[in-house]
Amino acid sequence: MSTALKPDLGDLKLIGYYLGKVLLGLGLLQLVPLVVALSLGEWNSASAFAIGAAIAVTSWALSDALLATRRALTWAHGMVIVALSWLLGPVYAAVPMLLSGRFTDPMHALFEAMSALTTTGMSVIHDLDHTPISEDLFRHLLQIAGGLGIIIVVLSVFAAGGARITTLYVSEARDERVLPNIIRTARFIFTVAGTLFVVFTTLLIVALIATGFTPGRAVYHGVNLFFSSFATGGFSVMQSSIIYYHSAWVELLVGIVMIAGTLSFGLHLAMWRGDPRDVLRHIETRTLTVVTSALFLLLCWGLVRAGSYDSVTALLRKGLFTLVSAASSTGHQVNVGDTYLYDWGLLAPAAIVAAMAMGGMASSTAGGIKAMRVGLTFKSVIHEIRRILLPESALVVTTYHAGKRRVLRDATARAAVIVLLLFIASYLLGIVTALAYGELDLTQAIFEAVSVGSNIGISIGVVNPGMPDGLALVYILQMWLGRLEFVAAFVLLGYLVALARGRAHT
Amino acid sequence: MSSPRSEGFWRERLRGVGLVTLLGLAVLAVATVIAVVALAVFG
Repeated sequence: MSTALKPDLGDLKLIGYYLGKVLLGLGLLQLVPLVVALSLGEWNSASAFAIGAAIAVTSWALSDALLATRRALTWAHGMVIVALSWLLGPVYAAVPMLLSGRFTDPMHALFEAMSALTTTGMSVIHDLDHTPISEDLFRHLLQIAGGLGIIIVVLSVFAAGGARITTLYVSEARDERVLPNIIRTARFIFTVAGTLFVVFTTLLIVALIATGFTPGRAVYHGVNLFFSSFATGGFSVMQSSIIYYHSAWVELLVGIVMIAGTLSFGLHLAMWRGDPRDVLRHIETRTLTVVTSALFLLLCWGLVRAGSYDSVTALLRKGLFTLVSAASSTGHQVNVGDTYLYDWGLLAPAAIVAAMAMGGMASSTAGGIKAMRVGLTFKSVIHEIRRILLPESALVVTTYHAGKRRVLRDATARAAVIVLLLFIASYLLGIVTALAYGELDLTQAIFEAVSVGSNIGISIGVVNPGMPDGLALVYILQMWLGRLEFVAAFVLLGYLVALARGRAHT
Repeated sequence: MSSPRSEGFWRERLRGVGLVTLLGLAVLAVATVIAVVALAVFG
């Protein structure tokens, strides 16, 4: 086996230089809640954001002054930068959270920051209902930045040269460039998000005013609801999540925004160009349609059998909303956590767990294994069965549609299956750790581990401010791996091994 | 993507938002049929 080359000082400087740019982005992001805090007189929050922003911007200034380099970015560099960005980003984002006094345990502040940036949406914050507006806004801004891709958000603004950031874009588990040029891709992503923001936030504000909100509160809730729904993040302004609003219109609008968030940006482009046929024949659309329809039937069967609901309206408002929230990897809730455990029987939560495991589409804001991999795995199983049944001389070709008609190749199928298996390994890690603490049953352990590992955020109640640090750490690891879809994390691991044991440059 | 001054600028955005909304409503329609069938068969 050949030994990897040991990274030299130039490689490390390059990695540090780009990490600094990401930290600058996080520092500048904190200026928004800082201004809000100052204008609302939330002085404690303002000082937390001022210190947090100062630390992040100082880190960038140091990296920019000391580590600037002309060395070209390779794929390995890109993967390592992205993996480290998703580790360092939450650490820096946790600083103002910890300073705000909402978290007594630094591990829980880190959990909240990782949950925000990876768009998982589980929260361990104390007294969410009385959190200052600026701090709530910061949590939701982190979700939209994480959902759109913190690297692409930051580097398309601060980095020069499209070729260099293409490496980073692909490393950030975004394997489909929507447009040939990466800057144009980033611009299109922002345009879609901005257009949907204007339309659906306005509609949400109207719906909230109709339910009795004052205009000011409606704007505050509407903006945050859009951020957490389109980012498929699932944070909420209120502890009780979407139940708080008691409004079918709010649920419908949030449902549409969650679906928009789970669509890949490639399919958004097809719709903008007026080619809905491209959407309908795409392997991810078909996989999501077939699987979620089957799961919704299973969910209804489970809910009716358990005697949970007995009307179409209840099945839609409680069952369908939860399924869309799970399959889109958002995590908004219309039930309290205990409901899944005590009132839904076993079949209905199983359907939700399956939807959470699959998640949304690749190259969207969604998490999970992704419909693309589930579809490709199914196609490769059919391919193998056909290969066995047909005569040996027969040429078996399996195709699928993803932007254009493609032939299913062994390498593609193998990559899909490997990532699928790694997600299952991540779920097992979370399940075993939760069970090791001895206070949870298997249903709770499975539900929470799949929800965390797929960056979903629907909780059965295991994640709470009293959660043990060890379990929080494993869940943080699961969220990080799930967001990176493993590849960049393994490259980072390999890079660290090469750093310790690699062959020196000759 | 069209530029703000071109004719297709608003049409693209309207189409994008409209089709996403239609997709959401289609999901609701299909789910309603499934829920009715489920209640009739399992209820």
